[in-house]
Amino acid sequence: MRYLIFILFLLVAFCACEEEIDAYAGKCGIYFDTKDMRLDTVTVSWGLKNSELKEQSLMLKVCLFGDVAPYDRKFSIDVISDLEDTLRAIEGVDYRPFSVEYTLPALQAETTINIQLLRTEILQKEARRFTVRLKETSELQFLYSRQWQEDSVTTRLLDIQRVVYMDENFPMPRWWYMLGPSVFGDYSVKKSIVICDVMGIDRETWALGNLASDLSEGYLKYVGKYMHRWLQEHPTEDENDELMEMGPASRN
Amino acid sequence: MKYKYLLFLALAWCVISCYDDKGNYDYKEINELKISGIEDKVYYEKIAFVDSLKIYPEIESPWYNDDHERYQFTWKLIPSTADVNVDGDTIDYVVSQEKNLILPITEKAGTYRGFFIVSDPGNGISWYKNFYLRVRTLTSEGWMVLCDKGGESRLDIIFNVNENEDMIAHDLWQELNFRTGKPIKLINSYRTGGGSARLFISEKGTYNMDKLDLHVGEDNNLRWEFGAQPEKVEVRASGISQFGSQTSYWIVVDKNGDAYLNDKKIWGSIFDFPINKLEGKTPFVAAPFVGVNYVSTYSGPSVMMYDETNKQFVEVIDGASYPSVMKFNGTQLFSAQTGQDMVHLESTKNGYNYAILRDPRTGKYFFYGIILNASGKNTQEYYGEVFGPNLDRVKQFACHHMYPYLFYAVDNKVYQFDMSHPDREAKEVLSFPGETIQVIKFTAFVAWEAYKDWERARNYQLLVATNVEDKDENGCGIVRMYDVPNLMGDLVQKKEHMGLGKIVDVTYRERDK
Repeated sequence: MRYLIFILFLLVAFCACEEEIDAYAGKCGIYFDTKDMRLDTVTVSWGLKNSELKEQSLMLKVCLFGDVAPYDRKFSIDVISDLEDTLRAIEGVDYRPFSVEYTLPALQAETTINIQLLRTEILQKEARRFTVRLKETSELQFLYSRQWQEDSVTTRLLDIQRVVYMDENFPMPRWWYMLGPSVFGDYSVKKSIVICDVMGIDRETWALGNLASDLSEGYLKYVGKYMHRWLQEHPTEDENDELMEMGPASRN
Repeated sequence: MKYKYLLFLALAWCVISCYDDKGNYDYKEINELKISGIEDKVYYEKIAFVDSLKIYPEIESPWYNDDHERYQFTWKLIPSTADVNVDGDTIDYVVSQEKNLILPITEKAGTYRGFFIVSDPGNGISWYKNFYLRVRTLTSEGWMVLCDKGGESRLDIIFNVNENEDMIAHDLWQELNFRTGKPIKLINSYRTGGGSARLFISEKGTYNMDKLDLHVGEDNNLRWEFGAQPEKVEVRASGISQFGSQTSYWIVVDKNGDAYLNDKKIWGSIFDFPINKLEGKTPFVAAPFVGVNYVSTYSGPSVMMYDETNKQFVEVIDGASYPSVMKFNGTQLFSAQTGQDMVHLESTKNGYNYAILRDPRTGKYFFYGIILNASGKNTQEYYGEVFGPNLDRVKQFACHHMYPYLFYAVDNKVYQFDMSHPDREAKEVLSFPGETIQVIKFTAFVAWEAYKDWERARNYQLLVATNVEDKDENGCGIVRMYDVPNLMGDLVQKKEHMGLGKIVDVTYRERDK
């Protein structure tokens, strides 16, 4: 009896070492890259680009779920601008026409959809948007996506589409609370744009830079004084229809 | 039954409690290593590329006597400016792993903390002794002698090794791949908090010489420190206020009489727009002088300037953006409105600013002694007319930094005038036949440095730079230093350096931390 127990124990010990590794051998799918995405909207803030820039590329990455294949696999997309959407973008006006047929190359796990976006005057007043939605094929299905619970009944797949949203938004710099009011006066997007244009400051540096590396307090104080003098010679209306003014520290 | 157990437990407890700890405590002296032969109270002073640091430490061990073979040795030199959070105490600081240190100094100028570490690999114990090293280079401090070399600039350096020994570097810019143009002036504006300016001015502009090797080039063109980045900046005066409670103003005056301000307390600050407007309203032409206070007892002293248009003293009060007419407290010896032209302004080591003004109507010279203080509390200390021979041909003035002595140069002679006895005429104190006086000056050593006595004494020595007439410009320059005794005693020549280039200007570059 003792021997039997011992043999049984040995058997259990040997079997425990066996490892079964299952490779994925199922279907394949496609989805939009989720990196840095909260929901499904890609926001393009033209406001952070200098005024001369009228066109820019947007690259949407499409990823593979499953195994790469030794051959090209085609898929297509829908470009949707809802007629009832007051912010709808128009092909040829807000973006250049682009292909709706794409290929996931052999042995590759991703491809990109390249869209040329156009900057129009209307963006100063209201945003524009359109949707790029993947279309399922028998080879590339919708197998993976984050989901969004719209309400208690409806659930939406987030990563089978990207909503391209364009505006002229120009966020208030983080350093504004420290220096802005005294040097530049009340904040307005228009004032920020005028300052960047006149001084040749890159808008992204202005809006997203910090005082320790990209901009310095000393330089911004000079900018304030320069702009005060410039505005004396070039009176400019601010967003509130009053003449644009710099802050008290710059008015000397 | 229970009592039996209790009795047993009590007995067991009693037996254990009587146990006497007779452990083997064989006390033995630990190996407390003593390191000697390393000076840890004063700096080892060395000159880079000239000196070697040689230290022969002695090690005493109660266990191993002088058996040094069992130890490992490490010598480290860590710059005092090293950020331990960034640079850390890395292997990069190891300069030797021998017991005796013989290190040819090639380090950058500055102060270092040194460590001699003795490790016993047998038990992992280490001992250390620290020491301090100050490295100087021929460009980290010294008398900068600006010379004219056929219409281009040449820089010679007189480096004071100690009280009696000097080294001279000739034509430092010889290999410089940069055309400086004709030399005009040197200005050293020291700032105690860092960011000193070493200005070289030539016909091509103004350059802030490199901190390490004093080179000049487009990379240190002062125009990059101006918001408008003008084609050329032609500075004629510069001064940095040292003890402003709110600000640290670096003010420069250019050739056109425009003054610019750069508040060094603001990170990334630059010169923006001319400040030569009275209280920001009425423009004036600034005379090419900036006066500051080098004595720290006054909180937030003004920076002194002179309004050439309205012929009056003006000040930039600590925290103000523009100059205003200078205000004085206490005894009024003179009015801020002088009606005269400023020809000299000297900020002295002892806190005075001496202004020498010339009356355009009479050609007479007047001295004004002022102590700069916080707003409205400037005081008037000296005022009077300068009496002396040949004042109609005066070329330069210099004021002593301790005594109220005014010196002036005419042709090849130097005269001394006692401002505390203005009734006495200036006397001739030096004469240099066959030479032309180019510079007479005193230098304020204002760095917060533990200067040695002989170094500090240089505050009060008169420098006279001359060019020998009819001698080749490659070796016609002479710099002499003189001790100035009190009671108007005779000057005593301390040093003489011959064979310098054709001198245009001389100033001292103080060492940085």
